[in-house]
Amino acid sequence: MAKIIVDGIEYEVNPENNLLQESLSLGLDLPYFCWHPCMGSVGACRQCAVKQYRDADDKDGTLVMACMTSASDGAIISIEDEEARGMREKVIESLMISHPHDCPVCEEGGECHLQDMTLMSGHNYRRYDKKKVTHRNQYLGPFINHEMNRCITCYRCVRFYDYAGGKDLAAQASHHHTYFGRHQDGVLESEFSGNLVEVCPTGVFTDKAFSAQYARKWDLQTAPSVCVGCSVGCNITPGERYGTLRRIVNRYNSEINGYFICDRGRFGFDYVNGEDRVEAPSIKKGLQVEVLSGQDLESAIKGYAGQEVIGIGSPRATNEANYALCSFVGKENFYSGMADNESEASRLILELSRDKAFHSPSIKEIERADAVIVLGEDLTNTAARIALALRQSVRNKAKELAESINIPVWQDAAVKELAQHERSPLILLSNYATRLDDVASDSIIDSSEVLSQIGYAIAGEISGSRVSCALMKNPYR
Amino acid sequence: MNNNIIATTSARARILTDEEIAEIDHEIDLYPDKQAVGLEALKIVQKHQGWVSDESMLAISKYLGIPISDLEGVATFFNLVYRQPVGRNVILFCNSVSCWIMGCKSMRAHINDKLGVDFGETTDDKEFTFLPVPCLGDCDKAPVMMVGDDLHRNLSKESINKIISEYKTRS
Repeated sequence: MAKIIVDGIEYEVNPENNLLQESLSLGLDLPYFCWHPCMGSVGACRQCAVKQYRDADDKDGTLVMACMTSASDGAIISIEDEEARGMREKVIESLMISHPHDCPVCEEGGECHLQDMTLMSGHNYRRYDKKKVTHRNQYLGPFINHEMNRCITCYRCVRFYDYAGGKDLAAQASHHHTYFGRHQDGVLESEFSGNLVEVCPTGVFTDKAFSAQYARKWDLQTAPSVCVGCSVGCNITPGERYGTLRRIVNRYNSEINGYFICDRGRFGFDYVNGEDRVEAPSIKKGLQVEVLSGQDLESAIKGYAGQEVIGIGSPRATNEANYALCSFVGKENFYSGMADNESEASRLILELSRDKAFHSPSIKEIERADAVIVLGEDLTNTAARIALALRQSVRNKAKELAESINIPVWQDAAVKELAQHERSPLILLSNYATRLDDVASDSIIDSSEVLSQIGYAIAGEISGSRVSCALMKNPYR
Repeated sequence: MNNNIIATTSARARILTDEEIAEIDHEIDLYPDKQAVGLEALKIVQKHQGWVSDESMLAISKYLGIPISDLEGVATFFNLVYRQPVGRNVILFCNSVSCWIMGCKSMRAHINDKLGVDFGETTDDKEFTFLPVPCLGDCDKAPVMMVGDDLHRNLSKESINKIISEYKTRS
């Protein structure tokens, strides 16, 4: 812990972080755009200027960017300083020179970081009355809308895209016509592109599917939820209006998804509003399907009592529904909807998850791992959020190198520049090429049989006892 | 490990000439990794082709293992990397402070009259492209301009007439 003084008040802070992060954690209002808790600092937007003083006798101080300055012990800063305030107000004014001020028709309006920061910095009246720079927008696919005129060039979008391993979005051109887009119109290729909607502090990237049936944030009814797209369990916030699900956004959970979810989780919910969806219990009589009321259902079920009835459940239905059906027909007449080998695999997973010796790491732990071996799983397709975590785990080597020469890990550009192509080990054993191959130190592509032999050999090395693969039961064989 | 470029495109890469490849390979030898050669490769291709087409962009991207969007970022960052065809001679006309004081405005108007093109335009006969440039570092000889690789100083209407007719007749 370190002690810093902000506007005459002493606070305890973590000296490993920067002043912006610590100020925000203390609940102090300091506007910013380019800094992101997951992506660190680059000092691109110049919005978080504060006054820093050498010592108690220093009355003049120096303007510094809070995001680029360590919260080191004994630091004396002022957020309220008039010059710092003035700078922040002018910076936001210049960032917004070409901003169209189209908030009333902008999808971001009401949940816009730029709106909040503008209000916070006190830039209330625009003085610029010349021609604005205008851009041609790109078609970026069915999910993301592009409106470059709203851009304030904070570089967050391309930094996130790089974070997620995407290669087809980059900063183009320079100075007043800097442009963030693809080399030509086309669908964004990253499976995490939807996060641009949330990462962008204004309305350059917006949710196109949501816009088609748009509602302001305050007109949506939302509830905390968990994504059903895969088994990771990312925390999400679905938003409903007039009985239909309109959109899904990320809900922060430090141990699981953090700030980001995958595009399947964000955009793959349309089946919820599907017309063919079975919303009430029904009974099929010949070709006719009859919807049953609660009472009818009970009497229909009673009618089957004592008869030979089988129940077919589904892994897509809730545990409660499956359990109710299982209790009704009896265990011996119940089918879970899973094939035998799948059922055996999930039984094994359950068994292992109860075994305290077997530690299933959280996404946060995966991100911090020194080395990772992925055995026979195409994570981008089965648990995309974990694939994103693996892209972060390979950066630990870079952080280690940075720490060895006293570069704080939040100095994002410096850490990347230092590491160049150095990465932590990520070994992929797979049946085919995967989307993570570009960051893998080794990718071994072979048959499941060979991969499982390698797996047993690794397990043997770790446990110190040779495990013969012939003795192990392979549920997939 | 950077051979996995996932960017796809509808346009197709052209084949780099042996000469272009030889020059790019020479540059690659001078850097720790070949991704650093992006800008040099763009300059080499422009030297040989006059400009950098989409097809050339894709060829360089493929050859150096740089994602096409990143290479486009480099190409569009530098104003003198031409992403559209230019005339046989490119006029880089300084309109910065010293040249402005020394009357470059009327020189610009003169070239405009003489060639029928203004900044950013190419003559119909594809002989000249007229571009502004901020300072050629020769302020004591203002107004100045470059045509191709040659610097022309102390411009006057007469000298401009002479320069233009000289380049027109040069093959």
